[in-house]
Amino acid sequence: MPQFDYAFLSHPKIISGACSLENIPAELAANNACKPLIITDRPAVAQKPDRFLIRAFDDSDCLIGAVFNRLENYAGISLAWQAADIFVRRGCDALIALGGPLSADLARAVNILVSENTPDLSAFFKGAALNKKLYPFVLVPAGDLHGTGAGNTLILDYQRFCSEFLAPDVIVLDKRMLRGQPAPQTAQSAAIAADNAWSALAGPNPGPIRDAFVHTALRLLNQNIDAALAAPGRDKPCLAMANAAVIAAIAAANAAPGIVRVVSEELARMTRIRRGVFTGLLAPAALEKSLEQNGPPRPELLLAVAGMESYAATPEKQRPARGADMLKALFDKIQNSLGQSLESLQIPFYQIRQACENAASRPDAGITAAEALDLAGRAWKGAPE
Amino acid sequence: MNRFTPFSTAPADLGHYPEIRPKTSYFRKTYIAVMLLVVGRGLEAAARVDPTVRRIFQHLPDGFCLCLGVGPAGPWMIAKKDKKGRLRYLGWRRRAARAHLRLAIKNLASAMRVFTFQESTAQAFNYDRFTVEGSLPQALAFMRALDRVEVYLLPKVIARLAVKRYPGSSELPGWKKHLNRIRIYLRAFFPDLIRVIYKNI
Repeated sequence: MPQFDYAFLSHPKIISGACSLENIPAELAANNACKPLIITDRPAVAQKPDRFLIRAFDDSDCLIGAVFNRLENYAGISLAWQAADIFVRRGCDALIALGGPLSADLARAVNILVSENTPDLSAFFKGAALNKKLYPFVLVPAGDLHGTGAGNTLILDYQRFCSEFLAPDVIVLDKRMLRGQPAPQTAQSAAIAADNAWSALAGPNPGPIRDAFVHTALRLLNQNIDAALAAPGRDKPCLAMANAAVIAAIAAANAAPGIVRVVSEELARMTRIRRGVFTGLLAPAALEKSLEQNGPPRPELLLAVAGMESYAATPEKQRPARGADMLKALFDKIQNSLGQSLESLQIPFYQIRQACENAASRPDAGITAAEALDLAGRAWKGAPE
Repeated sequence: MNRFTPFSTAPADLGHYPEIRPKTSYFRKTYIAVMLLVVGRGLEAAARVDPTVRRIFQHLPDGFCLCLGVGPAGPWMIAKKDKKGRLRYLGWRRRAARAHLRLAIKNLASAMRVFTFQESTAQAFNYDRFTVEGSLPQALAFMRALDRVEVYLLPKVIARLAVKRYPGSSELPGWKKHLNRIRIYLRAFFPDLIRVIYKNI
């Protein structure tokens, strides 16, 4: 039965397609801003997408306050202070995060620092609410396509702050920003996007709008994953994957975090291996476990993954099982593209156990350490040789 | 209020982070300006020659002024319906008249896509490339007139890309199209063009 007791917030305006970067000045003007500070992370801009972004401001009224490009692999408060210092001294009035989730997190931190006019974020990490309106925030995903930055969570110095005001005002998806990613990285992004979508679909308190977001994300992922993995430089599949990732991230931001997300984040933090790798390895095991515990999923999963024709051609009773099979095939495809197993990563057991305990102790997780360890064990056993 | 205090614990060297001033693409601006000049003159001529365009502008009030261009800094095309009910192209200066309807393409790159006919005007509307200030029905009526003018001004191969629907031979017979095309080109470029350029310089 569909449930109509729900809340759903999708704040960002998503601009995708040709000339979408060039729309940023107009969007800033619509938000009463004309001097943005661009925050980039170095790995994401290795292919120089920042040049495209700067060029997109040609013939506009906007002056770019600065390009803050000191972010490498870790977003911390000292970098946020420096960027905030530049923001204030240059008189900027908007933030643009170019790159992966790290630049989005740093931009969010800077936004809180300069909007609240405080050097300290610890109060917010302890649960304080934002008191002032934040500056306009534009997200331009580049490099990673998993769309995590589109959510509403700030992670800085391994501390988390979640607020609906932290969602970007505008998300710009442009094919020029998404080129040049190797296949494993694309697979990692796809793993995170698929897990976001699945956890939003299977999570508690579903609603029709969240379902609509999840269905779109899963359909785009299933239709484009092969092309994106075969030729990561192709524009159309990459843009479709980025769209799917952003849509899935918005859906996931409106649901409780799934077990895969929590455990993979903690494992990534513990081992300094990319989160997408763990997500790709854990997701098939989590799906299997969910099917064992909760039974077959809703029949709409088949509609989401396979499309209308396959859904209509499948007998009604077989739809839940077939939907689960197709989603499992999608997860397996991603896992095979990663070319690794949990065993081959050679992580000491104490680190896995510690990560599982950390995951269980997170207030937003809602899982036990035993469940997390069970998942890791399944992924270990079920991983390809 | 000193807003600099909170972050002074980690001052950044501003020399490493220069301000970046956006450049201006004079080639693209010139191209769009020329295209708008041609379209503006073509509209004025078509409003006299073609009954469909004439009918569209008849429904607009007298003294109606419209402005088509590229935000934020132009180029622009201003046209106005005079007291006799004829559409007059006033030039490219935005201050030439107060516009009742302002259609602005959001940026020069999008304008290039429209005016190099990679996208039709209807597609550009669909992709949210225009901002409209004024009445939306009047804006759509103007876009219909613009489509009709493009049919006359452009060869069929290109015009098919530029308009939403190319008129069939029953709607616009070939001989009539070519005859009107010659009349529009003659009216657009010869008698009054020097007057317009003189007034705008």
